[in-house]
Order: sequence, then structure tokens, then C-alpha cells
Amino acid sequence: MKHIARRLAFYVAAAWAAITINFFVPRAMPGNAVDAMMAQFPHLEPGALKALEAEFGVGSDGSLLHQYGSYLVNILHGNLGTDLTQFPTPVSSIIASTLPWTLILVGSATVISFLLGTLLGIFAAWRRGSRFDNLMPGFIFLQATPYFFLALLLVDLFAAHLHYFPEQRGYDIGLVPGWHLNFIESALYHSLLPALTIVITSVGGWMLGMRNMMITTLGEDYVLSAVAKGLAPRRIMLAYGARNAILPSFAAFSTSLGLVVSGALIMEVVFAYPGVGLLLYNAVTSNDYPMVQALFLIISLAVLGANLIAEVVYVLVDPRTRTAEAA
Amino acid sequence: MSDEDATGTDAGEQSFALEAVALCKNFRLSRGLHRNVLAAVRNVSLRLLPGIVVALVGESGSGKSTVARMLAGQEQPTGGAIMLAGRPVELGKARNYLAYKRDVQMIFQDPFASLNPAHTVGYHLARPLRLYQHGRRGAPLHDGVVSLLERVRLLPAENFLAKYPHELSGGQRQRVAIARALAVGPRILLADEPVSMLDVSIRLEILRLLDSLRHDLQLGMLYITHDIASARYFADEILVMYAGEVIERGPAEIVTQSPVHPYTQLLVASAPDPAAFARRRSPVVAEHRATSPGLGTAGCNFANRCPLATDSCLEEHPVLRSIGTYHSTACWHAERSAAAFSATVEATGITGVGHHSEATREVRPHA
Amino acid sequence: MTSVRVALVPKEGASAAGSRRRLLARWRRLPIKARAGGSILAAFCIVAIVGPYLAPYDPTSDIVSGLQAPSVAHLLGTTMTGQDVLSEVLVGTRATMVVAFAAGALATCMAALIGVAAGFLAGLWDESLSLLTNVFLVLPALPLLIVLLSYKSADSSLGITLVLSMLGWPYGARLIRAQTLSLRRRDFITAARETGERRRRILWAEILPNVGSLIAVTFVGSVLYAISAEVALAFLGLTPTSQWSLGTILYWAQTESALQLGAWWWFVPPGVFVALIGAGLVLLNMGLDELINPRLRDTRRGTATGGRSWRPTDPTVVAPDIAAHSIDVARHGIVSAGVTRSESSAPVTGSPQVEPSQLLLEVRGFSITYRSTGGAVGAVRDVDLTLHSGEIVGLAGESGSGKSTLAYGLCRLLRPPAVIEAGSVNYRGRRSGGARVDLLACSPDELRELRWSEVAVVFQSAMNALNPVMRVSDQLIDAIDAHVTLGEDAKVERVERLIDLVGIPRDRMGSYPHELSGGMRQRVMIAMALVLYPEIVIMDEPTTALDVVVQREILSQIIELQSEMGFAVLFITHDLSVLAEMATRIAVMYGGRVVEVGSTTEMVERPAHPYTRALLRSFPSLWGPKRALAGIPGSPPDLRNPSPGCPFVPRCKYAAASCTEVAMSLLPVSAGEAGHVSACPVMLSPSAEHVAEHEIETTS
Repeated sequence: MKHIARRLAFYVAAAWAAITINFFVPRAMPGNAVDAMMAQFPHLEPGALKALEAEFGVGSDGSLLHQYGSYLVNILHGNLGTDLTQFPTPVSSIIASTLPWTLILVGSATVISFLLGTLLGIFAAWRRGSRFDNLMPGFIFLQATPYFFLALLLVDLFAAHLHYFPEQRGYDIGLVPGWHLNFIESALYHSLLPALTIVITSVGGWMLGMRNMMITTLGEDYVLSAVAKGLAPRRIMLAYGARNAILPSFAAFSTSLGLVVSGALIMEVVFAYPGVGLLLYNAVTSNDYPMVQALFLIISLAVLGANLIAEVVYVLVDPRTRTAEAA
Repeated sequence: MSDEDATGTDAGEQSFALEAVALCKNFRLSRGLHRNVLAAVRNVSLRLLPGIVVALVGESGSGKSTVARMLAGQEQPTGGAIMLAGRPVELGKARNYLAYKRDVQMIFQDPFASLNPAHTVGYHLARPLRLYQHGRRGAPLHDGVVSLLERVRLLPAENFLAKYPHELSGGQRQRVAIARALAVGPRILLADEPVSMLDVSIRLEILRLLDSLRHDLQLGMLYITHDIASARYFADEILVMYAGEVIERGPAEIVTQSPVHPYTQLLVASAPDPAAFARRRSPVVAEHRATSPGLGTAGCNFANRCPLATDSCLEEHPVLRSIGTYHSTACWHAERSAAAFSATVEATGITGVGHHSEATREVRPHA
Repeated sequence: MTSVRVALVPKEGASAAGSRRRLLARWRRLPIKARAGGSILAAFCIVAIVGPYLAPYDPTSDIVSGLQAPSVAHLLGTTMTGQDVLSEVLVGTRATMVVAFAAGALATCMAALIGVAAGFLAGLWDESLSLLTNVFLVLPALPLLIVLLSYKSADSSLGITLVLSMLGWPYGARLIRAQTLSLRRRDFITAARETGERRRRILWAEILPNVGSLIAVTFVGSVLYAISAEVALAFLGLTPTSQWSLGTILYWAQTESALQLGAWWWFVPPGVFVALIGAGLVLLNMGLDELINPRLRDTRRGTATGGRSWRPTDPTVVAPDIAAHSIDVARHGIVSAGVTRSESSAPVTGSPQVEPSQLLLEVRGFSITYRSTGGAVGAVRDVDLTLHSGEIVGLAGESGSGKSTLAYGLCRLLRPPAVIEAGSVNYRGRRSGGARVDLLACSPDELRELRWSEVAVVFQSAMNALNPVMRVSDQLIDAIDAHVTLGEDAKVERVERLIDLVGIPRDRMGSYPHELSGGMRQRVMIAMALVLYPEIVIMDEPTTALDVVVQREILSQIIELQSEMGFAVLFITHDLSVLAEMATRIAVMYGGRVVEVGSTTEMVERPAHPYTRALLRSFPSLWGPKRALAGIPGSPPDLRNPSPGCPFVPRCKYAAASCTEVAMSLLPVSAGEAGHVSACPVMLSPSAEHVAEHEIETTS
């Protein structure tokens, strides 16, 4: 009980930190963000201007504390401000239409990469010193390659030259997004290369981590006792080795989610994929501050949510954490 | 206080002593929303005199190490007092702490953990010398370190100066740890299971070293152990602890040869003994099952394991009472228990009680 | 006179050449990954330092026409606007490395400061610093960087460096905090406090040296993070695009559509540079991991497995020559006694044949070596041992005597670098119908069938030997499933019967190991060992970690079970007194050799080897009058440099000059029973007997 309460308190604190950073960054930055936006968007309506000034604390709209209070209230109501490029569309509705793209692509690619890397790591550790294990340096090189660099090379090779995959975007230009077969087919087709990029660049890291964990675990006494018991090698590898080794690997997975997601966001820019990453990039290059702010908040909360889920799963797979709670 | 008689041999003369007076230590355990208090040590009194070894014997979790840590100043007692040379010890200020440490030093159980792997033997011994004997550097410091190594018989001393702990055997490490404790010139040594991590062939050597130190340097020593047989040989007085309390105390030979408290008897009977090979079994007083002590009960903590327990044991908490010269125990049935033990020993003539096999158990058909 | 300072500070080299040689030796000892990574990084550091001076052209000036393919004049071609790509990359490498290393160093400092402070100060400090760390850890750093830079694009690399380090520290801080926390609980910190060290001194002189390797790992990790973040930000155009760094080259190449125009030479080199630097950092980190965690070190590089890959289920490697011989013996059924024995050793064995019990296990001339890069250690040397059905044989010896190596080696449970060098292990079991099976010639599958159903093991620490994430009952059923086909009900019945037998309440069967007490776990371990009714149970210090009262209970239980079920026990312990009470026969090991074997009565009443004698006299006894106790002076032998002859010579008070030349073979003890053998020829002579008796008289 106490453990769960502590963890929940932590997530509330982390979410609060993200929200607060989001509030203070525009205020702490030198220069006047509203002026910059004015320069970028000269045809803003007076109403929009007023709203912006309130949002960024430029006008004399009461004390900082008061601003902070109304900001929190706005956030709690899901009001993230108004977009400038598509004025007066609320930022939240634009994000809502792009978020699923990222969630599905980045989410599933990351999970696939983790599972694949874990599996490869198990085999590499089990057959230590085998030819497969010796492929490690290759994976290390891929892991060290920047996402976008590899993405561009893959696009050039498979899309521009070989035409196996479409070069850009999330679906064919002529299609109207919706739940019909044509569109889904096109979306899947467009997501293959980006997903492949994510998997190729991140699988090495998971593999390496799992390999090391697995090797450490295989040195434990309970693996030796399983061997002494005469269990089938496969059973020892999975139920005794991998089952225990995956726990710390899984914990590492949740802590590095933020990093992985960040890389994937840049990848979206390369593929002009209609997700949050591209939105963020476009907002940054066009000084669309309300959008930048809102996106940071959404990304942070999404990562926090993924962490929370990972933690719940962890409690389910490790009996020791359960007892710690009961005690 | 319940035990003036136990070590009160020299009540009149004011000799140097480290005393624990009714020491208590409670640990707070938080379980969910409830807060429980674990009484790790209750009303423990003892006196360490120059040249005398007092053994604190008990199983893990009996509170014996907590007593040592309180006496060493690492843990704050929640009740009772520590007196050094008749004055209560206040360790709040850094200067007081240093002064106290000049007199009272501690040796730890695990010589693999008590030396810093990043430092040499020379460093370990030079530090206390420099801290306590200001300005001692160069040749005098070197001499001091060498003489410490010689004192613990790490010879030739020069060879050990530049060695790192991982280059030494367990016994050698423990000698370095002892030398470090001696460096400040203490009068009291607290030894927390100093030999239990060592090989049998090494244990005795270390105990003999400690024994010669207490004679040569007139050190007062607290010897904490789970091995009551070694306490018989090494200590003058034995205090047996169970569930945070001293349940029997007395001269080492009396406590080990005619134990009175049923728990002490169990401890004595359980100790493996090469001399017992002929009878294949030590005299088992009664069938005991190791269960956790019945904490928080109003009565005797040992009652749920005790073969002699009666209703009164469950209701009233026994305190230490004298049952002989310097011999006291916390048991309502001390006389009955003592008689039972000597009867068993008589009857078996140290040939032991044959072991009972329950015939009802299934026996596998053996091919 | 040498000064103490020599001991306190690492020895200053006698000469520059000597120190260089020592440095080289240390470098060679590093894991290969660390060396590879370090070399790559060193190469790039050199590029970063001298690169700009070597650059053939000014990277900013457009000299020639754009988009030239690589040529002699322009090794990596030119950009759209006619700059030399090679020059750009050489200059850019420095900028990228400087930012990454500076940010990495700053982040590491912060991580070390916050991590050590949180771990050392504990309490409220720890709570708040950990909270801060964890919050920063879950916040996505790169989006935050992008947000920050969108407000004010950094106009200097200093700004980028600061921002990168601000976001790069939490991961390392977490690691360092955990390490500090565990160090703080170590005895040597308490001991330093005992010595009177102040807190600050403890922090930097006692704790900091022990988190050094972790700080190095953190630094490498932070640089890796900084380099990838810097390159990503530069690629997005969020850093000053007029300053050359590897990222900005990529930015311009992408902006000017280098790949679409086919100008791969513009785009590929900077990316490959980044990947190489990154790979160097990853390799270095892997090497550091191996330094910290010895299990990751590849022991295979020794000669143990002959360079082949190795799986954890593979049986202990048998040296090729005896493997061939053993298979030969097994195949042709040549089963005559003493065949596999070298002629030098006498035909005496440790089998007294006191009662007509069946010979179960016969170990002859058994030697095991740990072959590592540092040299070979002969852990078990030329050992003979027999085990008969229904007897308890005690194997006594101190740590490093080879007793556990022997026991695990004979059922081939040792891993590389252990290699069985010589000998034979013959087993005659129920399932082989009394025929002799050479365990050293068994295939992995044959061995797997024998395991647990014939030979079971009770491990020293039940806590470590039980799978922490599996219910206790499932671990018993696992063993059943691997060997017999039983119905669900029959399995449950079998498990319950054993659980009753060792005295565990049935409702604890569904527990996980950590939910049981130490004694309870050991009982589970014993129940598990007996679940297939094995012929032999090897017990490796099963009660050492337990309290005496619990130990006594478990020992009684073992004796009871043994007499009811009739299995034979090989009981390994350092505690001879335990064996005196329960063993049928005792074998004493010292320095990798069996030095004496005999029935328990013989061994306790008429020990023939000086080591056995000394060992017996090392136990304080509770019974009878106090005896004079004598420990054994000196230290256990160093098996890396074994002295010739008897290994006990340096500690033996009867040692004669001839002892260093004696061949260690077990000879019958003249006055003793049949089967009592000792490896000490000196004590076997009548005069020596006299000496020994005299000594006992005077001391008692």
C-alpha cells in the first residue's frame, strides 16, 4: 500500500514538475515571445493577441502566482491554448489528431525493438562466444548511429532508389484519413520504413543490456541448481535465466523510454510523418509557441504514462515487489 | 536494575570500566499505516573491566550486535545509560565522540567488508595514528605502523605495508582490523563475531591473539558470538541473550557446564562437538522447534518453545534473579530446569539421547 | 629506511621506463572491449586536436565549383557551395567532441555530486535529491532541449554545453547514489568512523575511491548522450548553423538535398564519424562494465573450452586425452579396477568395505584445474574417493581446499575455466542396472538423465539456489517433470509427501523463496533434492549459514531421512565437529588433495595426518574438562604456486626436509582399521607416533 502510494505521489510530482517547467520556461527566457510571434504572424486578431499575452505573462494580468493559478486551472480543463498557424483552432484538437500517429508508430516500434532485442540478447548470452554473439560490434555500431542519419540513408536506398517504400508522409496524398481499408493499408505501408529505422537503431541497446543481464543471471546459483536438476536446456534458459534477467532489463526499459521517444521524434521529421515530432519541429521553426508548449507537456505526460504502465507490469512480473508492498 | 550481583565483585573500588546500565533499543518498523515498535534490546546491563572478557551469546536477531553498536556509539540507545569510568557517556559532540573512541574500539565480523578495498594496509593503520597522535608523521609514524603489525603478528611487517586488502587472506585481514582498533590505544575492545567468517584453523589463532592482547594490554573485551563453545574457552563471563534480553549470565564454566535456562540448555545441546562423536548426539533436553520468539507477549519470550512452560510463564515476564554465586537467570522454573538438565546428563552419561524416529512416516521402498 | 609514504601513495616508479612498462601491462590487462573503444576514442581525440590544422582548405570559403565527387584534390569531394567536405569534417569533429566532452564532464560532476550527496547524507536529503533525479530522469530531455532552444537559440557552444549537461546528469546520479548507499552500509565506513574520521574525509577518502569506476561509466555514458543530442539538435538547425560541427554539416547536407542529388560524400562521412565515436564510447562502457562485473568477463579466452562457444547447461569440460580414453573404456566395457590410475600411486583406496554395502561412486586420480589467462590453478589434484550406498561420507577442509570443486566436478557441474584434467568417475546406479557408467564419458543428454534422479545436490545457500520468481512447489514439480511422467495428482501427492517429510507446513508450498525463513528454505532445498528418490545426495555446507539450534534440527532431519530412505550422502563442510557426529567416514582435504580418509571413529580417535590432528584440536569443546587448544599457524596454501611435496609443510610442526619431496599418496595407517589411509609418511613411522602421543599427554 505504502509503496503504491509513494509511486503515485512520485508520478504526481513528476507531472507537476513538467507542468511547472512548461509555465516558467517562456517567462524565464529573455526577449518577448509575443513580439516574436507578432513578427511571425502579423495578422493576428486583437483577441488572439490578448490571449497570447495572458498565456505568456507579458501583459499586466496580475501577479505571477495568479497567472500560475489560472494556468493550472486551464491545464486541468484540457485547455492548452490556441494555435497560431491555424488560428483559432485550439492546440489540443490539433494534437489530438496527430498523437495517435506517433503513439502507434513509436509505441509499437519501441515495443517490438525491446522484445526483439531481449530475445537476441538471451540467445547471445546463452551461446556465449558463438558466431552470433560475436556479431555484437555490428549492433554496437548501429546503436551508435544517429536515428535520422540512418533514416535518411534508408530512405535514399529503399525509397528513392529502389522504390520499395514511399519516401515520406504517413499515407498517400490523395486519401482521406478514416477507417477504410485503402487508408489503413496505405498507413501501414508508410509506417514500415520509419518503424524499421527505429528498430534497427534501438535494438542493439536492448540486446546489449539483456545480454549482460542474462550473463550475470546465468552465473547465479539457481541456474546451477537448475542444471543439477537435469532440466531441459530450453527450460533453464527461459524459466530460470531469462525470466530473472528480464526484470532489471525491463526496469531499464522504463527509465530510458524518454530517450528512445526523443530519437523517434526526430525520425518523424525525416519521414515527414504526421506525428507529434513533426508538429513540434514545425512549431519550433515557425515560432508557434503555444503549440511548442503544449507539445512538450503532452510528450512529457505520455512518457510518464508509459513509465507508470511499465512499473505496473513490473510489479506483476516480480513477486518480490508484491511482498514489499504487503509488508 | 536487576543484576547488581552479577559482576559486582568490585563495587567498592573505582576501577576503569565500561558499563551498560539497563540499555534498551527500540526500532520503529512501519508496516503500511501501522507503526510497530521492535524492542531489539531490553534492559541489558553489563560491565567490562580491564583484562576481563565478557561474552554475549545468542542467535541471529537476539540483539547482541545491537548492544555492541550502542556501546560503540554507532547507535543511540532509546533507554538506559552507558558509563565510562563511572561517568555517563554523552556522544553528541564530535570532541566527546573522539575522546570516547580513544578508549572504546570495535572489531567487525567480516574482515572482507571492514577494510576499504581502495586503501593499503599502511593507510588503514596510519590514519588512526595520525588522527589520535597529532603531528605524527614520517619515521615515527612508520615505526608506529610497523609496531602495530608486529603486535598482531603480521611478520615481516614491512611486507604488509603496501598490500591491499584483496591480497590478504581472511585471517590476515582480521589481524589488520585488530591492529587498526589497537592503533588509538583503547582500553575496551568490542569484538562482534570476530572469527565467525574465518576458517576453523584460523579462528583459534585469532582468538589466541585477542587473548594475549587482553592480558598484555589489560584490555576489557566484549566478545559477541553465536558459538557458546568458543565463549567457554575465551570468556570469563557469559551473558546469554534471547529476543533482546539477557536470560542467563554467570561465569563461563558454570553457564556452559550447568546451564539453567531452558534456552541456554538448548544452545549448549545444539552446539556440534567433535568430542560428541561417540554418542552420535549431544544430550537433547527436549524437542524444540525453532520458531520465532513470541514477541509482544506479556510473559516469557521463550515460552512458546519451552518444554517446561506453564501458565504463569505465559502471563508473567521473568526477570533476572540470582540462583548461585554470580549466576543468575530469567526463568520461573530455574530449579526444575536445572534438575532436568543434570538428570539428562546423568542418565545419558554424555552418551546422548537416542534419536527418535517417527515410525508413522512413509519410507520409500529402497531397491 | 623506507617511509610509510611509500605504502600510502602508489609506488613511484623507479624509472620512467619501468613505469611505462607497468602502464603497458595494465593496459593489456584491460578487457579487449575497453581497449578497442579506448583506441577509437583516442584516434578521434587526435583528430579533434590536430584536425583543424591538417584541414587542407578553409571550410568556410567556397573555393571551387560545388558538388564535386571525391578526387585527389578533394578527398571527400565538395559541398553544394564548393567547400571541401574533408576540411569541414576535420573542423567539425573538434567542435562536436569539445561540446560533448565538456557537457559529459559537467554532467558527470553533477551526477557525482548529487548521487554521492544523496547516498551519503541519506534521510531527507536523499528523499528530495532522489525525487529530483527521478523526475529529471522521466522527463523527456530532448523535447525539453528543443523547447528551450526554440525560445532562444544558443548563439555559442557554451550555451549548448550547459543545457546538455543540465539534462544529462540524472541517469548517472541514480547509479552513483545506489552505489554510495550500499557503500555507506559497508563495515569499512563504520570502521572509519570508529577510527575518528570526519564525515568529509569519509566522503572523499573512503567512499569516492570506490565509486570511481562508476563515475567513469557515467562520464562515458554522458558523453554518449551529449554527442547524440548535440548532433540531433544541430541537424534540426537549432544550434548556430554557421559554426561547423558534425551535426551542422549534416544539417546543410540535408537542407541542400545532398542525398537526392547523389552527393553521398557530403552526407555520409560526418554521420559515420558520429557513429564511430559513439561506437567507441559504447565499447569503452562495455569494457568498464566488465571491469566492474567479473561475470561479464570472457573466461573462454583461456584454454578451458578450446575456444568453442559454451552454454550454461554444458557439462564441465574434460581434457581431450582422458575424454578419449574414458569413452574407449565405456565403449569396450573394459572395467577392471585401477586401469585409469597412474602406476605411481599405491593401490590403496579409501573404501574399507566395513559392511557389504554396494559401491556407488568411485573417483580415481581425479584432477581439476582452473585454466585462466593468468595461469592454471590446480584446485583438485589426484584425488581418490569412494561412496557406498547408504553411507554418509564427510568431506572436510577449509576454504580453498578444493572440497566443493571436487564435489561439483565429479557431477560435472563446474563451468569454465574449470577443466577436468585427469581421472575417472565411475557410477553404478539403480538405473544403469548396476553397470558402471563413467560420468566423464557421458554425453550431455546422458548426464542430464542421471542428474537429480540419481545424484541430487543441496546447495550451501538455499536463498541463492532457489529461483526467486518461482513458487517453491513449482520448483519441485519442475524437477519431477524433467525426469518422470506423472499425472497432476500424483505430482502433487509426491510433493506433499516430501514437504511433510521435511516438516514444512503444507500451506507454505505456494510461497516464494523470499517469503520463507532461512531454515525453512534449507528444508525446501532438501525436499527438492529428495523428490526423485536419488541414490546420492551431495550436500554442500547445507547448514553453515544457519543458527546452531536450526542447524541441529536440520542435521537431525538429514540423518533421519537418510536412515529411512537409504540414500548416500557426500557431506561437504569446513566444520569437522559436525561430521564427527553424523558421518560414517570422513575424508579430509588440504590444498587440493585428500590427505586422510577413514571411518569417523578412527579419524577422531586416531587421526594420523598432522593437519587432521591440528584441525581436531582447533575446536573448543563444551563437554568434559577444558583441553588445551592449538590453532594452526600460517595461512592456507597458495594453489597458484604450489610448493612441491606435501602442501601442509609450511604449517606443519612435524615437517622434515624430506616432506617437500614426498609423493602425495595415501598409505594405510599401520595401527588403524582397514581403510584408514593417510598421506603423511612421517607420522606413520613408529617414532612419530610416540612423539604425537607424548604431545597429547602433555597438553591435556
